[in-house]
Amino acid sequence: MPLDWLYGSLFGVTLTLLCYGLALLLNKKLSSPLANPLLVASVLCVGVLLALRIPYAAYEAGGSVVSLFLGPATCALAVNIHRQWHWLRRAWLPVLGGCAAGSLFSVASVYLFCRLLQLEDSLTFSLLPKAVTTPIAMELASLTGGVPAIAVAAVLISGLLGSILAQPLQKALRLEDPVALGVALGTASHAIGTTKALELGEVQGAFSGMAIGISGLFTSLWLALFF
Amino acid sequence: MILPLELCLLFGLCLAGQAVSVLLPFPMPSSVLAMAFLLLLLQTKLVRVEAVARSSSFLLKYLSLFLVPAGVSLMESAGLLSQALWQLLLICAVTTPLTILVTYYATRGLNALLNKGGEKHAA
Repeated sequence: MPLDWLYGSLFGVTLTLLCYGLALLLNKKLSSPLANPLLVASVLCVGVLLALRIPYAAYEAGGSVVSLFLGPATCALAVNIHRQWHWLRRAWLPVLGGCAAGSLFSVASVYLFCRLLQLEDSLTFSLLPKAVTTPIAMELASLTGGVPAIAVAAVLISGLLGSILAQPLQKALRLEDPVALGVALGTASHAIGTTKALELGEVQGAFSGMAIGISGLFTSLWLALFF
Repeated sequence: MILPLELCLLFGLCLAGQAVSVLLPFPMPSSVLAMAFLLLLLQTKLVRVEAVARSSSFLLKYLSLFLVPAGVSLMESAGLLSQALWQLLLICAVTTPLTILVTYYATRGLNALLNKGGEKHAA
């Protein structure tokens, strides 16, 4: 087969790096929140695959190489937490309480909306963990009877929305507490919100990173308790 | 630490996280466990923060790169997604900013409450 090389890992890795690199350049030129590197890079990748009629299966091998780094990157968040430890020592109760309240609110409000819109159970359970980081959300969705791929979509949309809305919300309501803002972005928008929080400041970024893990734990707990 | 060993430590912690996560009775993502392990190593000074500084700053700076394949994987579930797209967008558009606000004010409120309690609770 002349196209065998396309199905190796190199194609997906190269395409991802190319699209992400271009998305970063675009992000530097336009400072619009819609020029979010993740959104632009994903759209570019899908666009290339569709335009050249390359099946998703050809991308998958390389894609999974890139996703492999998500684990070590999440692990590296511990460095930020460590550097901001003096903050956490003073604020551990607000941080835990904020994450617990935020993730409970997220699960409860999503559940209410799904019932109001009369969504099927499989969709509802895909959306419930939408505020947490992708690997947790996928696992929670499949454990409760949802569709992991839909969970990924909801997680991405929530992340992007949080990242886009963070600064307008901050300005409009004067959310000036860096600790609370970091916790809020990490709880509502996981790693994508944390990327935004890191842009806003190191304190925001550290607490946002902490909130990803803590809220992931609380969300698992709430889902285990109620469903 | 030299870069290959820095990365080895981070990947090794993820591996340990996977090993522990299968033993736990509730769903706990391995990367979150790995994060807890690294925090423990840093706090107990078994690992100095300088020892993982280079790899961690690279990984964190380009965190969103590693999420791109998840974004691309959506083209696989486009059919299912398009059936419920507007509901999904509506739900996310309403609940995400509200979750940010609820979390923000809960954290801030608890913080204010503690500070009012004064130094008595400092221990």
